[in-house]
Amino acid sequence: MESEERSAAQQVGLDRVGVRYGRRTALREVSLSLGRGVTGLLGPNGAGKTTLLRTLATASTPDTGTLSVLGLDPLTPTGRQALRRRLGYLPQNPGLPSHFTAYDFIDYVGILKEISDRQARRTEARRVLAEVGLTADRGRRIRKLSGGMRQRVGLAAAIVGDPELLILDEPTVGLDPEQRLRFRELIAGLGEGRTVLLSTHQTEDVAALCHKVVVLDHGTVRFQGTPAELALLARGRVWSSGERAPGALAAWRTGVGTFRNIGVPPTGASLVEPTIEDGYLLLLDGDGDGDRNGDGDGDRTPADAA
Amino acid sequence: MRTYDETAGDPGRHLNTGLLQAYATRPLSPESRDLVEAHVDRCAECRARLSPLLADEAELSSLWERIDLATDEPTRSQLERCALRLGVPEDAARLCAAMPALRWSWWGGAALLVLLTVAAARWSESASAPLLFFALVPALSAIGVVAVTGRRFDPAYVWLAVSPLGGFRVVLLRAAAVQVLSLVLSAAGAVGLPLPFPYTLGWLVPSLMLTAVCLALSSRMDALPAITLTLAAWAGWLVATYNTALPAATRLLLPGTQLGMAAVTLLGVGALIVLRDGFDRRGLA
Repeated sequence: MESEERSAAQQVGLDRVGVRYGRRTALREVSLSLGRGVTGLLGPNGAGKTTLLRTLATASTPDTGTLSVLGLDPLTPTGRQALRRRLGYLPQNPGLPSHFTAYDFIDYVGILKEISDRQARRTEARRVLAEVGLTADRGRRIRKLSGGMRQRVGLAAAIVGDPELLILDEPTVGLDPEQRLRFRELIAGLGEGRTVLLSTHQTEDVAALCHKVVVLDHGTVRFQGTPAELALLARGRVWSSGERAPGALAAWRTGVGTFRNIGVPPTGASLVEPTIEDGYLLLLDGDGDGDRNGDGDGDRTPADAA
Repeated sequence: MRTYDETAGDPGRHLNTGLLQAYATRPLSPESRDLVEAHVDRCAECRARLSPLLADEAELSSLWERIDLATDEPTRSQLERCALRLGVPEDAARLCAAMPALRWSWWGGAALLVLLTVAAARWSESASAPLLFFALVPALSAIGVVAVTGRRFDPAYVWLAVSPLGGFRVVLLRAAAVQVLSLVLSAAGAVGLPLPFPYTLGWLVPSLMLTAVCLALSSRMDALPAITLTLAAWAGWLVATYNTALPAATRLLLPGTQLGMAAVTLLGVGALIVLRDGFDRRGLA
């Protein structure tokens, strides 16, 4: 009971957060509330996912709105520093010093995380490298590691110091299916007892890992709820047919030769069970601005879906 | 079945008992000690044979701690090893070593440039030839500092930007490291200048001034515009004050000018302190 209350407690809260880059609005009055567990952040390119994650990771400052992360205000110098002690961030393109070995780099990140005791830093480096399965390769220079291994070095760096909040920006991009599966296992393990915010283009990652999903588009929150609720958005809007349906918003040939269509089904259509991907596609392409409740923010909730 | 190795040099064999006893009871040469420690680290049998020979648990713990440290000793560049020998704390040396700019290639290029300007000053017939040294050395110093503090030049800057250690502290540390090395290099070059003693130190205050101004600007803007603005102003001032009647054809070496530049340096340092939060707050923006 107590653990349920803890998991339900807000760890990350954003209230009308806005970020502009010159004349371009990257985030527009984003309001969110996240608890413990793995939350997936979905959205097309340019939706504002990276900006949102950078803002939460204290790598970027919002122009408007307020934030509360692990009960701290990252907009104040003391809050920002205290938060940086408790968060781990894996950026989309983690820059790694190629002349360092994997172990050297983790040792360096340990220094950045204020682990000043040499032995404690080594113990921590061994722990995180073991956690991502890089113990045997810890002495290899980063420039000689494969893309998947470098991603794991980045993840190991992000979990140095056992952070309470883990922010991962597209950690599975560029990985082959086997590496992605390994990453999913890792992230699922890391999500136990922590708050993990995971940005991805892969709806399969969300289905496999996340207890909550947020969809961003054009800098606004279009949906927040469970993966099942996202799939529910497409209930009654997905059908299969022998040929591409003319009025479908999206349609593609499946492996068995039939077409899977999304949109408004014709009378008598053979409806199929929707997936997260169906709900996501329908949300972004299905109804223009996606604003069903008419409040102008385009935010769809599970209640809308029901 | 493996045999006990009388030469102790073959990694496929066990260590002989005499060597293990010697290790346990008296100091060995560093080579023999390393050999034993490397072997027992991977050989459970020799580890079991060594344990009862060691005097007490404390010694055993100390042994394992040494082996533990040796196993994962971070690889260090020559510059980092030099810094450690000079007494620089390990974590400070590592923070500097992460910068690609702090490599021999940079310092080799800088040394070559200083050498060429000194050669030009000594062997050119022009009275204004030393000006090249006084113009380039401070600029080189500022460029070096910006190259190790700006996110543009640090591939791993993002890790620093979100670290609790804070951008400002690391910027200061790296800037100090580069500034010290630059000053040593410049001082070595200045010895060769064909000018009397007080004039040969004329580069020192401008070096500090350009670095302070550049760092203060970097707290509010990207490193590239900061260094461009600073060097443009520097070049403009040198051109405007060019005068062949003065030593090295510049007002730079006059006491009044040096005092003025010292004042600008102090202003730059003051601005840097006031604006220091910019390094921590700006992150990747």
